[in-house]
Amino acid sequence: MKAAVETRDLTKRFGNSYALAGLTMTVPRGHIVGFLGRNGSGKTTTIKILLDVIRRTSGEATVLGEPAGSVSVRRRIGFLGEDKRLYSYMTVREIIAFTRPFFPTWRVETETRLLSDFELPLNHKVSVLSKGMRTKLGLLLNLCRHSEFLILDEPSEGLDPVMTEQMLRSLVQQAADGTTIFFSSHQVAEVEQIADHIIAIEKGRVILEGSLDHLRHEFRRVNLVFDDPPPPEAFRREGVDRVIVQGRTISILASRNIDEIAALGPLLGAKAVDVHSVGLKELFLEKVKEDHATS
Amino acid sequence: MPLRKVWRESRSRFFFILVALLVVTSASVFYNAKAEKVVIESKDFHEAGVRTIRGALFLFWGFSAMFLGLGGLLRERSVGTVDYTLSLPVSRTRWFLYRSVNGALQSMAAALIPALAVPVIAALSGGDFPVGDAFLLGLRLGLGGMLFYSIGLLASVLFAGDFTSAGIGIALVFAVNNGTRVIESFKGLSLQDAIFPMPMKDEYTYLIRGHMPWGGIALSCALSLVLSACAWKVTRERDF
Repeated sequence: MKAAVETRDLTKRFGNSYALAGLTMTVPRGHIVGFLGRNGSGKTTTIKILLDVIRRTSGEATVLGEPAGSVSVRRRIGFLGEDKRLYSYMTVREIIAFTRPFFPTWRVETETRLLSDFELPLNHKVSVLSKGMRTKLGLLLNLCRHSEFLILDEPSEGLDPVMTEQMLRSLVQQAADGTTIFFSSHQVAEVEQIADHIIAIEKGRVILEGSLDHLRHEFRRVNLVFDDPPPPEAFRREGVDRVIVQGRTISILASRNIDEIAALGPLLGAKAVDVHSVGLKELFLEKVKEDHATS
Repeated sequence: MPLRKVWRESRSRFFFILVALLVVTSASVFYNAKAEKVVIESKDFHEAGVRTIRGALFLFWGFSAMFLGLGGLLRERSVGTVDYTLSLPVSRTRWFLYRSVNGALQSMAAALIPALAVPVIAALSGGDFPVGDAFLLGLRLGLGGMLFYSIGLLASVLFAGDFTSAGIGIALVFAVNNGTRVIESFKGLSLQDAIFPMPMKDEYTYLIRGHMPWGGIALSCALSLVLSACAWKVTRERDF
């Protein structure tokens, strides 16, 4: 089965600056994929290219095996934007009636259930709905499609914790029905809560990619305390991502050769060696710092 | 569905423009009939009607048609709904086609309905104006003046923001209308003369004689198609 999204050397230039600088990533099917990145890292630009709202400068992008943004692929996907703006002049009933005929897989029973669960006022105009209610309406318009692939751009932006929780639960439920979810966020905790696959980008390039479980098991932090720390280069080897010297402590982030590094510490005079797992937030921050250091 | 959307987005503007043009038409017919005293013995409103459609209605309809060309995806970007619209399984070309056809039909209706109001106004005032003449004059205006509509269409895809595109559209319509009157060498290109050539008016009855001015209408329609094609090209290529 083809991946939900595949991009290769994707670039997007605005004037003299690049929002995407050779983005190559694969979004696997059947997963909840968190698309992590700082503000301005290129998340929204990537999503807009996948939807054909903006045109790529170079590179390739496919969605569900078809060229990104083609009309036929848009019939198979759903999208919820960051500010959840919908047609203000329509009522809730009208926008549902407007959207329904575009999608052959629309399920009326899901529509009825969500209208009841979300307590959406059918006769109210979209313009008078709060952001929370607009989010619920946007979710309804997407979840009823039972599309193969759902893209969400910062879905929790501006929502209160209760609404955020409700939205995340809806996404997990949708994923259980077989929909691949791809959602961008700069909230690491939120991504960690529901995603099982992570793609993190910085300055328009992927800096971290893989299943969350794999990343958690793969990366370790090794802290070594010395009376007289050796030069950091002593620990440079394959699998070492970052070495930081803070006073008498050397902190190493590594994905391979962890036992070797831990064993090397006492040989170089380490008084204490501590190896522990790394959380997604820490990993992401380290990768961003590493990217800045190398560029 | 897309057609319903473009109609919902434009209908308030269309009805407002239609009412405004009906007011202008009525005022102009009465002004010409009473103040200018063009209704004399025969009690007919022929000259008053022709003067209205060729003069006030042509002028105001030109600006109105330009306004009816505004809107579209660039405006949606400024109100934040363009992402949702473009995520639906409808191509940019189709969105453009639905909007431009809807706007062109509205422009045509905004030319025909006020023109057809002239016989009604004349009849209510005890006078007369042939319905057939009113229809043909309205048709000439609507077909021949499509250039004004396509100016609005092009401005709407080039300039973001309602005020910018409207302001530039107004300036262009003004230039098309007045440039051909003020600059001697452009006088042959007057859209007003091309649509309503004076030799096609009977000097005694003020009614239409001869054939439709197809040459002028065709030229205006051809220019309109060129501008619309440019607008379509920009819509296909640009980022939203």
